[in-house]
Amino acid sequence: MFKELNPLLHSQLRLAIMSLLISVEEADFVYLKDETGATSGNLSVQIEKLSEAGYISVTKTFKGKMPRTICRIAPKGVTAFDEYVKALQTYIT
Amino acid sequence: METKLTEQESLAVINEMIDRARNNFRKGSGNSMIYWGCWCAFSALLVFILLKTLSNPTQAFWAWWLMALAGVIDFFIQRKKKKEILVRTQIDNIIDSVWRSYLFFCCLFLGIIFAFGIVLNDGYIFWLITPVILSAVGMGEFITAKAYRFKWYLYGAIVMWTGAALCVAITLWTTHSVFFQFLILAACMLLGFVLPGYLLNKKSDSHV
Repeated sequence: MFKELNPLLHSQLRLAIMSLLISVEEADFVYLKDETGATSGNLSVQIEKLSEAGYISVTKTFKGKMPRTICRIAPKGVTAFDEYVKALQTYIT
Repeated sequence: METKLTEQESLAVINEMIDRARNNFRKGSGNSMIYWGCWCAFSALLVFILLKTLSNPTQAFWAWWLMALAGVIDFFIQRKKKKEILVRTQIDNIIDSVWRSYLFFCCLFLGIIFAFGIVLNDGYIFWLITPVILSAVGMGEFITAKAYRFKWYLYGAIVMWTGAALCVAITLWTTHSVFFQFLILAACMLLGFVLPGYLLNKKSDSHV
């Protein structure tokens, strides 16, 4: 029986962000941008969507005068990612 | 417009990103190894020179306080670096803990050796210091090698363990002379710490 795929995660950039964050404790915006190859604007929009859904937490700080954005996956995000992967498996197996 | 994925593409994205996060060596990843390797090698060579030149050779061992100075300097360097780190993994935390526990072990071990040495008035017990420290460093480097899957750290661990064995063998062979231990320590630090650190930096430069 096919399970429905979470539409919030079933998008290339958001899935890439979640996959990176599930593997690390925390990651800077610059790191996410480098690894996903996304533009700053697009990445900001997708991070905002994931944050609003409670899947990731976003902390804004400063390094000197430069702003820093640090992202971490939230427990709700871990659960959602886990469910997404399990749902994927019903399509692939 | 968002890119919609097939199920296979989703899996490919997940695998690729997890692989990237796992194999991420940041620029300057080897700097700590180079820093500590150089400080230790320099201190060991200084002790060796002072042992040969001072009229009271036991004063030479005060040179080891340079390692404490290195620790203080490193504390401030790491505090500043922490603010600039782009990514932190669970493995980073574990490896940090390994080396912190090594530091604790060193302090405890040295305290025990000095306590026994003074109480028992036995100078021979101090011969244990270098081989035991090298063995423990080798263990820390071995764990780090496995965690980061970087083979040069594994070779570094083997260098440390070989150095530990050599310390014992040469000290006993050269009719109980402990001088060569410091040369072995310096060589191990250069070959087993500084060199792998340099190679890790080269590898991380190719990742950036």
